Amino acid sequence: MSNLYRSPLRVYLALVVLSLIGIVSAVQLPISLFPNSSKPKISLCVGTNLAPETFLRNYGETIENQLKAIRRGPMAVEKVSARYRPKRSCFETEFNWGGDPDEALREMRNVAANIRGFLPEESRDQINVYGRGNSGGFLALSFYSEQRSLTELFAILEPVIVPKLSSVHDAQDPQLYNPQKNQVLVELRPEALASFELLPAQIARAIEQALESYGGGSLTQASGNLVLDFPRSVHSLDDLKQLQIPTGSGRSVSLGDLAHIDLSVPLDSTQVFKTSGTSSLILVASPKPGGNVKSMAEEIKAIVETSLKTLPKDIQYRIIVDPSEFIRSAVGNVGKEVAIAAGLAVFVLFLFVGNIKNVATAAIEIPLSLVLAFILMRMSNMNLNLISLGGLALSAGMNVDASVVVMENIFRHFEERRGESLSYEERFQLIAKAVKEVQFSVIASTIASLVVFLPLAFTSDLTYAILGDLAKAVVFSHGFSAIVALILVPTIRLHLMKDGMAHEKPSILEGPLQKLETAYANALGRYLTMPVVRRSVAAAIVALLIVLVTIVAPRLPREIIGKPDTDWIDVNLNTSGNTMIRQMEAQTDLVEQDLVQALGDRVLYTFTEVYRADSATVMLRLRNKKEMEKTLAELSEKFSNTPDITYEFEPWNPAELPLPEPPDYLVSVRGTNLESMAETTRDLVTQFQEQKIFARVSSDPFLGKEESLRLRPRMDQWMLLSAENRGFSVSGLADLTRTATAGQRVAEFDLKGEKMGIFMRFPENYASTPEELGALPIGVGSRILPLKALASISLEPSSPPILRENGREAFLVKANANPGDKAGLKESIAKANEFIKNWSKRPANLQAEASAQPSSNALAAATTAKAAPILQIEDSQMELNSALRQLVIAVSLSVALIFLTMVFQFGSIMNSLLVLVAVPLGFIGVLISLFVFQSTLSLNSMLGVILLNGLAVANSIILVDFLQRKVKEGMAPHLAAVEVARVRLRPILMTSLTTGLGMLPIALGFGEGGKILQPLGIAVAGGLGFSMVTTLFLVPSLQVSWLEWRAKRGVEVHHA
Amino acid sequence: MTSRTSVSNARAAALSLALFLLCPFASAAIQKKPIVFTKSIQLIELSETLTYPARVEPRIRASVVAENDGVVTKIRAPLGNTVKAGSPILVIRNTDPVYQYSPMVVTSPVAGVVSRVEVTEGSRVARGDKLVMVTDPDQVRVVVEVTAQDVASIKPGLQAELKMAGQEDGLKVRVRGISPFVDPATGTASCELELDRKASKKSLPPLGVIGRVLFKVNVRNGVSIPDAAITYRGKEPFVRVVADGKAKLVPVKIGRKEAGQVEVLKGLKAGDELVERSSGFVADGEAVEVQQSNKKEKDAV
Repeated sequence: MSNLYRSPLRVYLALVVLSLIGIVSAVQLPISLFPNSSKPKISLCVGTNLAPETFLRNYGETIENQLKAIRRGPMAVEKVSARYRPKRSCFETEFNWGGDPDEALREMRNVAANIRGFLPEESRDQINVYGRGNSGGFLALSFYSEQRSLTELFAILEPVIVPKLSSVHDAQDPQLYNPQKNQVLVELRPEALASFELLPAQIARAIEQALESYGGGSLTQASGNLVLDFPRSVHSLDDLKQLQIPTGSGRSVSLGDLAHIDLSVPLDSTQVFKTSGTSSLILVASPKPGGNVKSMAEEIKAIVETSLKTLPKDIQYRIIVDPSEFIRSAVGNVGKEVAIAAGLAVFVLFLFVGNIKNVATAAIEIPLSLVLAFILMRMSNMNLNLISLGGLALSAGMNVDASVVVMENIFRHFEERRGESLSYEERFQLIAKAVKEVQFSVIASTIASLVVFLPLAFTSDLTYAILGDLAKAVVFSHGFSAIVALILVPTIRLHLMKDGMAHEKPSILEGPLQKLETAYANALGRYLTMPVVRRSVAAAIVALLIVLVTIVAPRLPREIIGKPDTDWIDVNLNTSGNTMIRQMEAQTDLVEQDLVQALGDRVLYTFTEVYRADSATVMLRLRNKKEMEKTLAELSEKFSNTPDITYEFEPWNPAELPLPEPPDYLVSVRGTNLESMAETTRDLVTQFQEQKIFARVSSDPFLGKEESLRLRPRMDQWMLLSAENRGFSVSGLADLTRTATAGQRVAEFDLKGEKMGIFMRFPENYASTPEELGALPIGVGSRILPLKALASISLEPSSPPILRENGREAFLVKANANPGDKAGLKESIAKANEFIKNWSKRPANLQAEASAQPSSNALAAATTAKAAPILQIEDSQMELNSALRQLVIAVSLSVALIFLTMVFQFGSIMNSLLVLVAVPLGFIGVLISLFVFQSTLSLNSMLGVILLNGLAVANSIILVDFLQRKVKEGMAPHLAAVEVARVRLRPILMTSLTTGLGMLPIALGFGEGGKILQPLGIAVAGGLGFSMVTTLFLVPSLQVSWLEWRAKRGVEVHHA
Repeated sequence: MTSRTSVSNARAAALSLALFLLCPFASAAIQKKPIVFTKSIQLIELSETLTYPARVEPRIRASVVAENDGVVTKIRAPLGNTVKAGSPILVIRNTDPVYQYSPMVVTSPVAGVVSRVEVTEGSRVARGDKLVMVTDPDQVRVVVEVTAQDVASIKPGLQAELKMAGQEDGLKVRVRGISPFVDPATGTASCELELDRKASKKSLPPLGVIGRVLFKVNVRNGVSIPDAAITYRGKEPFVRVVADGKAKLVPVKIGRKEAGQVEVLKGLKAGDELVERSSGFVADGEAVEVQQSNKKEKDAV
């Protein structure tokens, strides 16, 4: 290897080529917010007209089992959460970490195809599989023109933009949404229908048939084949009006006589998007499971941009929600941190070395090892994200260490031969020798500081998914730094020192440093002569450690990982009792107005999405990110949940990583009787809310005060009617009521090149009350019967929605304190625990109340004598806690690994233990700094502890090793310690400060991305600082004590 | 760099101090009184509305049939002609030799308008074949099929309202009679209503159309409250009333629900201050701030 030093050009060229590859790799690395490790979560939803429980028993269990059985290679299903609701049942399927999202989606589609035939007929076309995660980001653009109507605009944009969208690989079902898209409305006249003894289902069937076209075989002719074709008969609205509907008596009537047919804007659509301000077309796209939201957004924006160039100038667009901008700036910020960290490390180096040429020799290692790390990152399919860049920022300061060691040893050898004139060959031999001397220790210490990451591989998937990238980034760049130090640094030295000797200019800090060295040596000398002080300091440190671990550590707030700052607030609304999207839309509009009014100028604009009849999201774009906390607090204060509507406020950022977002408090309600479970849940939610234990309480599934109208056919009558050849079917009547209330989409047809839905309904408000519904006319012979004559109608509480997790039914009560109210949270949890404990004694409590208030006997009666479901307080932070526990194990393992490495190096257990003293000292520093700076116990700060262990022992190795050698040379331990202090302070300071200061920008948490790594920075910087200072005194003192004790014992043994 | 650190440190310290000092007040701030909107309970006239689809039919609809075999030779009163009782409509030549092929004049049994002609001149008819139909457009009846459950509530003379599609105002109708027989196949008994005499000719509904009849039955005095004011403990309904500035949970017995209103059969009395809505969740016995429900808002509703 050393022969390489002779040919600097070859080394430089090789490194330049590698750097170029590195730069190309860096440019090609995809950028995302978090590591691209994924945990696919895909939902399969089935629309149904069956009651939840019926659907569950007849179909749901089988579907759940099929989903649970999905297994393909290493990919398996971890959890199936099924939610059975009155109109729709959804099966949320979670796969394991690292599962391939595309494959998961394919598997789910297979299951969907399999179950199709097995489902009831009306459900077969209502099966959806989609993988949009809750936390996934999405892109929203709006299009507008002052000169055109939305319909016109849509007609221009749709053919240009929509086909191109399908080529965007990462996007799932991007859609251009026109709030005013026309449809064909068939408004039936119920009276006419009854007169002709028709039901809506018959008309729907007639329309469907008219829209079919059939192939009728083909004829073989000399000129080729002739295809026989029965084209569809309906091509226009007039055709539709002329469509003949057969009536029961063998005659027929034209549809135009039964209904008013026209184009109109639908009153009810499946999903509604709105932006504040001008009415506009909206393009919404969300990434596929595992898709990169940033590249998706960029591709779509590029498509829109180029498409608009070919279109009239008056068509404009505006970006409403754009995750790519956010991600770029967040990741860019961490990139800046890397640069600052590197700059600081170089600066510290300069302060100590003083010679720009030498600094440059060592400092070139920082960018070089970064660039080389990119090659490996590209090869291992990583991406640039907050975490991996954080790893690079951390290693920036560590990376100069190897160069410093190599360079120092080279200097030392040249120093010994000072004054001699050396030939090139002699210089080469000298450098080769110097490198060889440190070669082993550089590699060993690099391995030691990397080996600490090894236990991470055995932690949970969640931990590894988040921290894996960071560990890999550190390993890659730090690993390269050792190689570069051993090859490039000597080559440059040999190349540059043509004249034999570099004239070292003393550092500008030379004076203060020498004073510091003297001061430290004196202080240590004095400290060593005061046994009482030494003993009490040691005791105090142990006491401090115990206090910190037992009292402070459990009180530190915990989180999985911080999130970047954002200027969007998500307001999730849940209501009860709505059956139609347009009801929800109206309600959401009101809330939106209130929100905007409450916040005034602080809101730039809003984006509203109404998903279902009972849930919607209003997104608020704040003018200033810094107002987030204040605004959240204010909103939580102003918009408290009421019995009709619940609000949920949270900062929104487009994180693709499915981080668990557990509630503050979680209670499960299990039992055998669904009704009573639902009742208990509802009661519990009400009680929690009324007692104001938590600011926000909700149940999963959401339980409103819902009632349903139950229509029960009078079967005995139906038998008689069918004897008269006037049969009815339940589905026919259900179809009637559906048409009369919500209306139904019958078919879709091509009207002059435009695809249009045909929507059939009764006149608006024809049947808006149960009474009116019961009076729906149905013709039977010459008589007009009310619907209520054919089926009894009663108002009953709805059968509750059902949540099944892994095959077991449960209701969950989720509660959250106001965000940021840490003190309140603790109190709330204590109160809630007490409340749950008393729950079983509750009837007694209420009886006491009832006796004070004689009229409320029913109150007590209401709650007694129930098949009592079981309440259980769940560990809502389970995933976090188990991740932290595993990390504690990982930390212990890494300490054990360090110990083994030390024993291997020193061959002495005692010395290795002395080296390890730095570990608890570092831990004290970590806990103190986390506490003082109000940071969190998170995956990141635990990783900081691991990282710190590797760094902190480096200092004590220097001390222990040197002292050991001096004592062996015959020096008294006491004097040796002072000597060590004088000589070794500088390298300790240099390596600790380059590393510590390198982490300073992270610890300070600049920029949007900064908050994520802040706990890590705080942990390492604080821990390293504390351990450095204390190690300088404690380790020599302990070693001296031990050496003296051993010497004394040795003497005694000798005497004996 | 260092100045920034110290600034943020100082800020953090100040913040933690402020938080510490505010702690005792924070809990007090959360405990502010919820606002409730109340309504004084009054006894009012309550009734139930029964809604039925109804067909408007002519009261007089005479079917004229052939009394013997023959051939129609002449139609004297074609479709739409007004006829008097006894006036001729058509002539049939008798094909039975016994009658010596003498022509027979078919007359209208009632006064009215020829509303349907089933034959043409030259048609051969057999005895019993339908020839024409004469109806009186000025005399209509409304036919309703009443379910067995409601038969008892509907008595002759009962006032009702007839509403036609697309018309705001209903017509006043009155029960003329109801069949005592419930058809087992349909589960209904036929009921006939007549238009109030005062109804002018102009507003007569067209014959044959289907409308709705609304009966107002079971008129009584009682208490009715908005559905939303009821809360449930388990299955049992409760309402909140305000007494001495505190909200109290009171069990009630509820009756029929109609159009968002519920009749309270037991538990509330006139003069009680009922909580209709509240600004948040209210516990039993919690002190509340009362605001009367806005009158204007009510009127608008």
